[in-house]
Amino acid sequence: MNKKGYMQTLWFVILEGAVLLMFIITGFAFMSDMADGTTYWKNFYARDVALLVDTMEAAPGEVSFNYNFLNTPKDLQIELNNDSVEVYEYVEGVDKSRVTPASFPFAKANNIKVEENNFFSMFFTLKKTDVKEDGFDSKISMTENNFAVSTTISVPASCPKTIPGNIKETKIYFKTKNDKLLSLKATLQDLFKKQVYSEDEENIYETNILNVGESQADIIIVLDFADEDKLEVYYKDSDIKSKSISCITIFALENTAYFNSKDSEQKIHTELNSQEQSVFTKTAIVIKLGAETDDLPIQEVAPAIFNALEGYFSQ
Amino acid sequence: MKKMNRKAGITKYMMMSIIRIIIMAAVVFGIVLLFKSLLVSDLNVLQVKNGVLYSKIMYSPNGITYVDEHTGRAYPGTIDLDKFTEEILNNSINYTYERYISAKLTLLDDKKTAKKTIFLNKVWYDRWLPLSNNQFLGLGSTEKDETIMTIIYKENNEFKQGFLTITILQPKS
Repeated sequence: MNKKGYMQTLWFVILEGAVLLMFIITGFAFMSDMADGTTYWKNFYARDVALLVDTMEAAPGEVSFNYNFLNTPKDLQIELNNDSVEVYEYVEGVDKSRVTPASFPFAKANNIKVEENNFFSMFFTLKKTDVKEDGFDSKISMTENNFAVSTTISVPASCPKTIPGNIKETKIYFKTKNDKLLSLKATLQDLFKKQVYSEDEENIYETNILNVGESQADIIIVLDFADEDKLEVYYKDSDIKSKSISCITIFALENTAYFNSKDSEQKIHTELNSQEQSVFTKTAIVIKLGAETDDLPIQEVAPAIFNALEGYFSQ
Repeated sequence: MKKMNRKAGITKYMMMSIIRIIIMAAVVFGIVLLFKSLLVSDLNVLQVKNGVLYSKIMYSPNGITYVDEHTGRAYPGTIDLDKFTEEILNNSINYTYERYISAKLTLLDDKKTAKKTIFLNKVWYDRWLPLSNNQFLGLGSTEKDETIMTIIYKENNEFKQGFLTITILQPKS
């Protein structure tokens, strides 16, 4: 062909490439959407929770069920309605009416009242309680819970063993200088309040967790961000308890989705430098939760640290 | 190779391009199908729904189960014939979404003679029954589950042995 022919051929080549690219992008976008799995997990949790409510209605007596979302690529919001459970993808700043939910029905029993509620939380509790009001015998409710379902973790064999003492007699001080970690600190304190102490022993929580100064504490836990995007946990080399808690803590944090994706070089478990060692006179660990960010998943990290402490005390 | 003029060359190239696009699209489509077949996205809860319905029928104190009037305790596996009615059954198990599930309960005496039959969501039971035939496959058909269990039923203040047949129909979609 002459030059003009080649030019026209070139247009065909470009057109062909564009059409093929379109097919390939569409195909992989379709697969990526399926692999992302948010729709799958929305359907899964809607069905699971709805069938659970159905089963609770038939169960005799009072029932309490702690539930938590696992394996979700995105945050989910759950809504308990009168006759169905709806699960939305949680998008900050977006009204849920604009988001398509996954929904699954459950049966309405005439003698059981279902208390409608909705929230964004990874952990919640479903309860069936006996009530005698408005002609109902029982009530099913769903409450938000910052409480991890698994209250203890299996302590790795490689972590140093120690005699930790009684958690109810131990004063724990959470310390942070970074304002972005204040909510994490508050969540950790709340986890103790909800888990360890009954209403009668709430004063122990006040004494041992909430109103403890650094000088009075038996265990000091410092929360901070790292200079780089690494999970770093430091311990006092001379203190076996410090080594034990830090080992269990990094194990617990490594298994969270937030830190799981980091490779081993980005997860550091080591001793404090000599200057910091001398600062702490008691059992202390320093936890540096990756690079500074506003999006630290507190709902995931706080229970992990809390579970690590429980694992430490359960040795 | 025979030399073609410009118009013939373009036409030939265009035809070849169309064929190439079709084949490449088929290849991409095949790869997508292959991956799709390996990704599990099916959530089949039919058996779970059956199990939950069985539990609700047998354990629900406001249903057909015999409840001791003094203690208020429901006795699973014991049917009160006075409560074995469609009204009580549908009131105790009330799915507002009508196409969720349906059931037929037949109470038989110890000689397996049918005494009484009631339905949960009878309208949709009758509609789904023809689709429960095994000839119909796919999401538009109906899943049928039949169980016969030994029970005790209370009739005129007497407890007698009997059987309860529960046939559950639910859509596969």
